[in-house]
Amino acid sequence: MPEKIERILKNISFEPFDAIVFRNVAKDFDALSITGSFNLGGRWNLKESFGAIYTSLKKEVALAELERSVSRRGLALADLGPREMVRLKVSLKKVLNLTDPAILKDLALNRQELTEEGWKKTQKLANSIWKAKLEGVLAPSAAANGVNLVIYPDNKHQDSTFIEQDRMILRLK
Amino acid sequence: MKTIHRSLVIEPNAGLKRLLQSSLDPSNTWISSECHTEALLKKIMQIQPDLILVDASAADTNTFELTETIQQLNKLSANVMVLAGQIFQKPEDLIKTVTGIIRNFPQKQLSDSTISSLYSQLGLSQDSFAQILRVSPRTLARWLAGTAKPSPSHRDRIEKVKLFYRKISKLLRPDGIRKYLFAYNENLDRKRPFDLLVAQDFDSVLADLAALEEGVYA
Repeated sequence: MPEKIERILKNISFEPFDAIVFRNVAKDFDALSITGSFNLGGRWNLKESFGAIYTSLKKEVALAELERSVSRRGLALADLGPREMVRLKVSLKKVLNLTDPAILKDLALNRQELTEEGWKKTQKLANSIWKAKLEGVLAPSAAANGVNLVIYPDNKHQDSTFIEQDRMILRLK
Repeated sequence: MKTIHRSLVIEPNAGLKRLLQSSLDPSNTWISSECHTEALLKKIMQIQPDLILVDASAADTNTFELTETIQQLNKLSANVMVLAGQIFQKPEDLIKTVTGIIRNFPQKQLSDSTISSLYSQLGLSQDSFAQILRVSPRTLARWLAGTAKPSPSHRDRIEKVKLFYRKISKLLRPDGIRKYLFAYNENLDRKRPFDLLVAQDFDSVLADLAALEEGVYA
């Protein structure tokens, strides 16, 4: 299965990606860190294999992802200490767009499989994407109706950039 | 003697700062000449010191600003000591006093306020806290009463709990800390962080906190 995906990925056309994206982090925390994702793993990266920067195209989606993440820990947003929403200016050369129905068809996947409760399928796919040296993946959010951009800094092309633009304190209820 | 806690010395006088730098262990002691409240608080958040020593006597110190800073510092969990440096006749005497305070600080800390403040800040009962430290509630009670001291291996465990507290207190409000410890956590195979700490699996719990800090998506 992974070999098959890797073969398919070789023949898919990848898109450049330029936009402002949103990342929620604890106050004063490094917005480009991948230590936490590397140590724990996440929906789109494998624990202790490679790290990822998790971002969303919309602020509301980044907030919904935060809410989902705290509820998995038995917490509510009101339990959190100070957090910030960081805007990152991203310019990547090779991104796999998993919101494109044609690409999903090529990979014999459907949207639901990318947002279901377990991470097995997405992590396996992420491993193939990372091995194919792609810089990131656009994928539907499992927390809200929106799109996330997951960046793999290990695969950054020399002309690609992702830099912190600014940050603002999140008001959590 | 190497200390196990982190200290920050605020010394606005450039000459004394240089002398302190050559006398103190740079791996766990930071010396700052910064007196501006905002910049200093930022530094403190980065270092997360257990002890802050402030020399309030330097001629170039803005007393009003320093007073404001100290008022802010008092809201933090670190211990703050303010020195009146002018009472020392020679700079060497001030250096000797500062190094002495830093050297003698951990022993005193571990036998009283750190332990008692740690378990209450984590929202734990003494029995639950004793479970994490792998001692009997009676031993813990003796430490708290000051009639016995933790052994080096127990001190290491206390340091791990301190590290855990440092991390979690930045991420969650006080009520949330207890809630986190006792909730079944889907990122940790539906185990409770408290049970993992009792099993001495601090790494898994710290990894989960690092992911929360970073905003990793589930």
